[in-house]
Amino acid sequence: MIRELLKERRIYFDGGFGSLLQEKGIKPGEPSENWNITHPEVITAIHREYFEAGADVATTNTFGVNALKYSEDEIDKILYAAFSCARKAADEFDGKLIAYDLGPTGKLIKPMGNLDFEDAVNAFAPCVKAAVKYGADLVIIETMNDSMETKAAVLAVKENSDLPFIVSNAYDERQKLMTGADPEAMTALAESMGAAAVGMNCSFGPDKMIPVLKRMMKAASIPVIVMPNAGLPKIENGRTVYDITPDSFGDIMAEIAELGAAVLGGCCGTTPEHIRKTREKTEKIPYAYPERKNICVVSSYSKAVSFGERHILIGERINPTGKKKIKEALLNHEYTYILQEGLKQEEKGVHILDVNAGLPSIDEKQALTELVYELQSVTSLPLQIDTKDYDAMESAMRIYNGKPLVNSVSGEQDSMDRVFPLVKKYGGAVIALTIDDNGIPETARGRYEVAAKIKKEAEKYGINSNDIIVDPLAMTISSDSESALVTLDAVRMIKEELGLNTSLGVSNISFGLPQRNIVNSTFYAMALNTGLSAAIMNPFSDEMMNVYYAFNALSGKDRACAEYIGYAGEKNEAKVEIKKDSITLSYAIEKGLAEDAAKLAEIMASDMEVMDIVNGHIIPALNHAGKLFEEKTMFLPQLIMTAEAAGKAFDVLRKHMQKDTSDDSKKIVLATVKGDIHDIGKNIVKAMLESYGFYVVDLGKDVEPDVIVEAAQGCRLVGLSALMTTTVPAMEETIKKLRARYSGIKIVVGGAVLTEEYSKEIGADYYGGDAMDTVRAAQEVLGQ
Amino acid sequence: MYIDKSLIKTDTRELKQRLGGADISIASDALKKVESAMNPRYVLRLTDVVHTDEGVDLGFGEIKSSNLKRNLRDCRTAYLICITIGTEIDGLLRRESVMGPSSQYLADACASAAVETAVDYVQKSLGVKTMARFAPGYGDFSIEYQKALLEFTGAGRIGVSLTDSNLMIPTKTITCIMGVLE
Repeated sequence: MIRELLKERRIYFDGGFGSLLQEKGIKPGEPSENWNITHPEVITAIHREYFEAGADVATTNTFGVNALKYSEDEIDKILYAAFSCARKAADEFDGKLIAYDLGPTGKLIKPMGNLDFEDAVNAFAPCVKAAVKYGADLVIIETMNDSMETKAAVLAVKENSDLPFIVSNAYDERQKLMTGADPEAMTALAESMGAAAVGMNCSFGPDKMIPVLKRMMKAASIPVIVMPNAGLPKIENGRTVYDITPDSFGDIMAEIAELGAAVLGGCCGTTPEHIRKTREKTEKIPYAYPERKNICVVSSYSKAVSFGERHILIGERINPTGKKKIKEALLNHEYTYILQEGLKQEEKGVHILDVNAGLPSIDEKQALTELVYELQSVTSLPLQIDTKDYDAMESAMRIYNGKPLVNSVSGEQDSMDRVFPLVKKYGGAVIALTIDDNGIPETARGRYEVAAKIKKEAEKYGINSNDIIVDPLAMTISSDSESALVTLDAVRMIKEELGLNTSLGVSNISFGLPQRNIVNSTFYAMALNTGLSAAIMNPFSDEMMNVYYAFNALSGKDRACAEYIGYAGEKNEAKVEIKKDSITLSYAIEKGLAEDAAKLAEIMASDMEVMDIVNGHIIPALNHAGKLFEEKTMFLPQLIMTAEAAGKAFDVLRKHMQKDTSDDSKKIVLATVKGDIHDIGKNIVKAMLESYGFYVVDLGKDVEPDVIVEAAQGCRLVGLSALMTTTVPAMEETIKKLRARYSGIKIVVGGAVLTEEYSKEIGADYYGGDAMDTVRAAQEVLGQ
Repeated sequence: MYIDKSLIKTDTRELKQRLGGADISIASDALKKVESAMNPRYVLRLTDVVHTDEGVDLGFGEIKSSNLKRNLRDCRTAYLICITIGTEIDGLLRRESVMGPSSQYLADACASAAVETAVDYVQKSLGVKTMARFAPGYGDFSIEYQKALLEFTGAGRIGVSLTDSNLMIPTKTITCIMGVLE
C-alpha cells in the first residue's frame, strides 16, 4: 500500500512523542512504551492529534522495544497495546496507515561493540512478528546510527514478514552515521535490500538536514524520507525546549519538499502543529517519484564505490591459489597476514578487495565468513565475495557490513537459481560470467547473448540490471589467438547494447606464455580503451599500475594529470632509496629498518650459517638496543621497531633453517586474559620474544582460561597479560588451572595493573615490568 | 555535544609521556591518522555533591570512596562528563594492530593523548575552576560505579556502552568527575 501511495504523492508521517509525553507527566527515565498500557487514552489522543494535523501514517509508540530489553511475552503485550491505541485513532479517519516503529538497541555490534550480529537480528525479530500479528501496514526502522544494526533490523523485517519497510538513519554534523557510514553507503545498502524509502531523522533541525538530503537525492532511486527534530534542545526553566517554531519548521520543510523529499515527518521536539504547518506549506509543491539513477554501486560500512565513471581496481591478492602464505594463514586461522595483504593493496590504491578462501582442505564457509568479518573491521574498502560455494556465499553476504560485490553468477540455470535469491535478500551487485549450460561461447555475440539472458533472469527477481557487472571472460591467447579480440568485442557490445558495466580477470589472458606481465598490461590497456569498467588485478604489479595511471591521464579522467604525477613521483623516490649507502644488518635492526633488515638477512644467508647470523649479528644488535633502552637513551617505540626489524630478519632466516617448530618445549604461549581486550603490551612482548628467536603462540585477547591451558600443552613458559583490576581474577584463575595441570610450568605476567608483589601473590613466577623482563624470563626458562 | 575535531590539537606533553619519553616526531604519521579519524563528542551533567559518611552522593546513589570524598571535600557541585573520540578510532587501532606492534603502539599512544586533550578542552570550556579530575578506577573509587555514572550522564546518547568487564566502548572514552571550586 505504501509503495503505491508513494508512486502518486508525498506522504506525511507523524512527529515526536517524547516531549508530548513529558508534558502529560511521564517521569524522566520511564519508558514511553509503558504508556500504551498504563495511559492508552493519552497515546490514542496523540495519534489522533497527528492524524488531524495531516499525518497519513502513525508510528507506534514502540521505539525502545526489543528482545534485549523485554521478553517475547512482554513484547507481545506492549505491541498489542500500542497497535490498539494507534488503531483506535486511525479508525476515526479514512485511509490512515500504521507503521511499526523499530528503534535501535543502544548497543554496538561486534567488532565495534559487544553485541553479536545474530543476537541483534533476534532482538528485533519478535517485534516484527508481533507487529504483523497486530496489523502493521509497514515498518519504519529509524534513528539507527550504525549500518550493521540497520542491516540486522532489515533482515529481521524481511525474515519475519512481507511488510514494506523504510530505513531512516541518524546522521551527525559530519554527514555520517556515528559508526562512519555516509549517505551514499546507506542509500546503497537500503535500496539494495528492498527498502520502500530511505532517509534521515533526528540529530538536528530541518535546515541542517539539507546537505545530506541533497546527497541522497543524487544517489537514491527510491523515495527519500526526512524527519527532523524541531531544532536543537535548550534547557529553559528546567525544561527541554526546541528552538524551531512550527511555522519556520514548515517553511524549511517546503524547501526540503522542493528538493524532492517524498516522505516528511518530525522527530524529537516536534508537535502536531509542526506537522500541520509542514503539510500546509508543502501540499501544493509538485511531487514526482524519484528517477532511476543509472548507477552501479557497492558499499562498505562507511563508503560507496560506483562503477562507470572511473575505472575500478579490484585487488586480487587475497586468494589461496598459488599463494603458500595465504594458504597457511587460512589453515591456521591466523588472519593477520591476510589482513596485511588487504591493507597493503589498499595503500596501492585499489577500490575493492577480492576475498577468496577457496581451499579444499578447509571449511570454506567458516573461513570466508571469518575473513570477511575480520577484513571489514580494518578496512573501509568494499569487498568482493569470491566463491563457488553457495553456502559460503550466503554466510559471507549475511554478515557483510554494506552492499557487497558478489563473484559470481553465471548463465547456468542452477547458478542463477542459487545466487539471485541471495542478492535479493542481502543486497549486492553481482559479477555475471558469460558461461551458460552450453559452456563458454566462442564468439563475442555468443557471450553477449548469455549476458542478455542473465540480465533478463535477474529482472524476474526484481534485481536491477544496474547491479549486474558482466565478465565476458579473458581466455588465454596461448590456446586461441583470437581470444583477446573476442573478449574485447564482447566488452564493447555489452557496454553499448546492453548498457551494463563490465569486469575482467585480466591476467588470465596470458596463461601459458612467458613474461606474462607484458601481455597482461598491454591487454589491460586495450580493455580500458574499450571501456572496461573494472579489473580484478594485482596492484603490486608495476606494469599494471603504470597502465592504470597512464590511461586515466590519457583519457581525460585525471585532471591536470595530478594523480599520474603523484604516482610517478613516488616511483622516483623508490628508485633513489635503493641507491643509499649500504648498511649493515646490525644497523638496520638498531634503527628499526624492517625492510632493509629482511633484505640484508637474505643476502647474508646465501653465504653464512644461519646461526652465525643470529648469534653474531641479530642478538648482539638486540642486546645493544635493550641496553640503550634501560639507560633511557632509546625509548619504547624505537625498541619495538628494532624488535620488528629483527623479527623480519628472523622470518627470512627461518626459511633457511631446519624446521624446528615442532619442538613444543621451545614455545611460549601468550594471551590477554578473559574479559580484557588490551593487547598492545602483549604484542610488544611477542615481537621482542620473536626477535630473540623464540617461537610464540599468540592466543589473542579475552581468552578463556581453559583455552590457555589446552594450548600450553608441552610448553614450559606461559605469558599472561591483564590491564584492569576487574580482569586480574581471571588471571589468577588461569594460573591456578595451569599449575593444577602442569607441575613444572613457569608463568610470567604483565600489565599496568600489576606489581612485583602482586604477581607473586597471584602465583606467577616472573613479573614482566618492562619489555626486556619477559625476554630475560624466557632466556632463563628456555635457554638462549 | 559534538566538538569539531579540528579544535582538538593533541597535547605534545601528553603524547611524549605516552611514548615513554621518545620524541613525538616518531608518531607524526600516526597522529595525522588519529586526528583524521576522531569524532569527539561528550555529555555533561552538573550535579549536587552530597557528602555521606563513607563517601559522596552525586545523584545516583552513595559512592563509597574516601579518595573521591577527599577530592570533593570543598565542592558543593560537580560536573560529570563522559567524552569519547569515537568508533572510527577503534577501527583505526584495529588496522594499525594488523600492521604490527609498533604501528599499534604509536596509534594507541596518539589516540590516548587525543582523548585526554579533548577532556582538557571541555574542562577549559566550562569556564569555572575545578578540582583535579577524578574517575572510577582512581584510588578506592571502584570501577564498578562506571555503569551508574554512564547512565546518569546519558552516555548512551553519544554511543558509549559498557562491556561485562566494565570496559567502555568505544575504547578511547573517558569519564570523569570535576568538582567545582567556588
